[in-house]
Amino acid sequence: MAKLLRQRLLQLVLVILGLSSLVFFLVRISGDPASAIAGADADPETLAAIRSNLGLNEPVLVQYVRFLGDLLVLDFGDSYQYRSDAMALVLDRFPASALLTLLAMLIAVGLGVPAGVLGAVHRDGLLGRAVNGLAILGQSVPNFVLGLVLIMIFAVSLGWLPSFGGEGVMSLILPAVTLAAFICARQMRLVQAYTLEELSKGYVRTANSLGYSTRRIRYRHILRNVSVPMLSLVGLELGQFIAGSVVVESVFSWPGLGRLMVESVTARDYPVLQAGVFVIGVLVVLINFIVDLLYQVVDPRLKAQLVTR
Amino acid sequence: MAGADAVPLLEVDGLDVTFDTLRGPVHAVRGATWSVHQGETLVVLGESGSGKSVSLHAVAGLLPANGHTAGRVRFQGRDVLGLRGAPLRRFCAENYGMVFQDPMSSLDPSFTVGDQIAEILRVHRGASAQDAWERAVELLGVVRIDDPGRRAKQYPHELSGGMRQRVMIAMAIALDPPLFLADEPTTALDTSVRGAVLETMIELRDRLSMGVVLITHDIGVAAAVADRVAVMYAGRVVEYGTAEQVLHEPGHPYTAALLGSLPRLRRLRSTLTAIPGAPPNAARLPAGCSFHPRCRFATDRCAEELPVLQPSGGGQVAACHWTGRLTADGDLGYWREGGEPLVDARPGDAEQPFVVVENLVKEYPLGSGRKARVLRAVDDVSFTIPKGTTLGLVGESGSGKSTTAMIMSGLLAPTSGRVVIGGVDIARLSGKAMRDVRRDLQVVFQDPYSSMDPRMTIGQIVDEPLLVHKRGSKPQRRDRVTELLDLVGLDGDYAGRFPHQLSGGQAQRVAIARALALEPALMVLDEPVAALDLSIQAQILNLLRDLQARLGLTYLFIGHDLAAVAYISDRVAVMSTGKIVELDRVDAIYQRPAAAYTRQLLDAVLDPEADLGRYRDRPTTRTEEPCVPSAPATP
Repeated sequence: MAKLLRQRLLQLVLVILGLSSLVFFLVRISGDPASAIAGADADPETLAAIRSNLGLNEPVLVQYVRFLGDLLVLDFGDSYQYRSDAMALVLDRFPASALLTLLAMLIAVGLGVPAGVLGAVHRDGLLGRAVNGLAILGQSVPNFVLGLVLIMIFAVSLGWLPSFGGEGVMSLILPAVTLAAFICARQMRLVQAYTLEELSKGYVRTANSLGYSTRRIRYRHILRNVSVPMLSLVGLELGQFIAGSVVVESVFSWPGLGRLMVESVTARDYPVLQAGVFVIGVLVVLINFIVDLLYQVVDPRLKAQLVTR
Repeated sequence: MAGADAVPLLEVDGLDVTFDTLRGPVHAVRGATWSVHQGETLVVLGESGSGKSVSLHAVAGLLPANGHTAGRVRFQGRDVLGLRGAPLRRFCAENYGMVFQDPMSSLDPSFTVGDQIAEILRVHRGASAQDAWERAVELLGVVRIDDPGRRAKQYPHELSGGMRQRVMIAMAIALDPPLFLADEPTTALDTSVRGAVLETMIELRDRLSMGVVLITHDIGVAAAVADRVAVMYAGRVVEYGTAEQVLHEPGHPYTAALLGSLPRLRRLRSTLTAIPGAPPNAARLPAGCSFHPRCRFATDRCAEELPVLQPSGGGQVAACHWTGRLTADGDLGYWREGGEPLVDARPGDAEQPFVVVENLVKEYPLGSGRKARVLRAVDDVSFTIPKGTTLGLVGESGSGKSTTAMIMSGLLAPTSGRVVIGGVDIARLSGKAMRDVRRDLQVVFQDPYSSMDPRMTIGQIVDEPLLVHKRGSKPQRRDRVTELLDLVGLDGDYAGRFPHQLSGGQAQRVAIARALALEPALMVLDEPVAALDLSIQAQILNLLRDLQARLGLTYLFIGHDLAAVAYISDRVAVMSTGKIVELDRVDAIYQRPAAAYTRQLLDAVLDPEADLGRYRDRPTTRTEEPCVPSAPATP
């Protein structure tokens, strides 16, 4: 346990360092924040003044060393755009994104898992084919297209739901569904595959020979064993959710972290970008750590391994 | 044993099982007929594909959705095949206790064994959580698991194979069923554990007055426990009678041929009389008697007319037109003696061994860091193999025999020690030098299918070593492939087929042909017959002996079945927990075993003659325990 914790802490440091460095150099290749701040037709003197003000006229390596020093004390500086603390901005937007992501995850797991199990059990029937079809459809439609289509139907034509904004539960529904669709489809597919594999295992035959009801076999025995590979899947997908939320938040003008990041890229707002990347990096490592801990709960074989290690 | 006139516990009469498949219906069981009485053990004996397991699954309502049954199955006079859905489930759970081949996969890995036993009582008896748990612990004691209170809290992976199977037995008897159905219960277990598990089953049968149906492919197991035996071949029961009748005076040529295929320690001096060919595919049975293409006594009538079960000389029934005549003339007794005497013309020169292994050690670290321990999989192993002879390496799972085989094959580097093959120490070789040695050193593995690329034809598979080592032009290599296939007894036509189109025995022949392609001096044979049916196993063992005599090959033969290893070996090394505990000539090992472990292994071998009724007849000596208490009362 202590070893796992040590491993994860090291991993966290490496991930943050790698990510931040990558972002640091990438944004500096991509363009000049001074022109973004001052506008396209600003005169050279203004631009130079802005650059020296922000410390951008120094050699890149000097900037990098200073950046690493600031990273060490978690100081990301002020946003170029908003002139306020970058981390405060990021943390201000974070809850909206977290809410959206969690709701989407809930939808994806809540629909995907039972649909996958049913799809496996009735694999040759209508239900199995429906699950298959939905899974393929869900994975092949890009989420910004799905988002726009949903807006067309539910916001424009029917007028049931708002098409944008961060106010209230109603405005949460469309972005959450859009974000959930792809993951849900893949979850269906994978749960179906895992369940099919479990169905052919010996313990299912044993349970049948013991006269257990189909429901008991499916939801007590099979689902318990399917949850092991499922868990790592969910862990991986949470990372994907964050990627997906960047697009979905833009489509629905959702005031979350994803949209803030997109705006910051356009405005070359380095401090906000770095703060955002930092938060997301920590989050992904943390989620993986929690998944590892949960693993031991659902799979007794892993518990034994970790104890002996 | 109950009298023949009593009502049988389970009566299977003309059972047919058909599976709908994409290629049309497959008739897996045809008119199977047998019965079992209370207090009696019936063994259904057969090779893979004989329909023995399918018939059991049909009886227990465990067929997949595409399986259909016809005929009659009656339990205590009540029709079973007519039951469906929930009533069938309840009926089977109450009346049958079932045990399957692989106890690891048959238990749910996510629950403790105690939970799994308790679940049965909670579902079917409505027992409270605490009552069910107490009873579960009690049941673990009944099946002779030590410290049941602690074991109950463990997960399947924390128990040994034998213990897992005992847990399965505890689950099977949890509801006090009158009938115990066991599908190859000891096949996945080490031989030393096998006896004790069988003993427990028979003991429980007597204490709980159950009937037992045991499915097996192992003649020794059948002989040791059976009151009566039904022999199945290609979906039909071909012989049915008491264990003495069927296994001592067989009335069907197939039964006799199976007995002749069995490597036996008391018959090491003569060749196995293997059955030619392979069992037929259930979808394309030959006309007449299904066994006639492989039968040494077949006549024209056998190819045309399906024989029905008829009384043979000894009192049993056999599905053979000639059973009366064959038994009267004693023609089926050949199995007792085996075939030709073995020629012992091996110029084994112990002075100049071809293989020298010295102080071989292989360690694996357990965990990491300062407190790490090491597992010594191979612990100071030394042996030599003279040119042209066979050293058998026998041991149970975890003995280190497979690790030794891997090192000998140059596939794994030892921690320390020397492996000298033909004067070269391969333990430290790498790259080009290793490739040169590899030519002289070939390996045949247990599972022929997984050792071949499924997308390559047999011709390409056998040709690949020739191609890689640049042996001749394309036409030359093609001729060589034909020659090699011929050497292992396969027609040149096989070159165009794919691995999945071959039977297990044919596939293993291809693997041997590929190993022979580069004319090696040493072959490492890692359990090459363990996955094969008995009749095929004898063919491959005979083929290997024949090839050795013709080509002067040196073998290291690894196996877990002492009788099979002894049959092919000149000398045998017995391995246990990484060490060689005894190494001697085969006859010495058999006649004067020095190590206690060797004696234990020898004792665990079940011979159809010497061990007939070994566990069946043993009086229940262990009476110190209280009798099995009854299940918690239904509320």
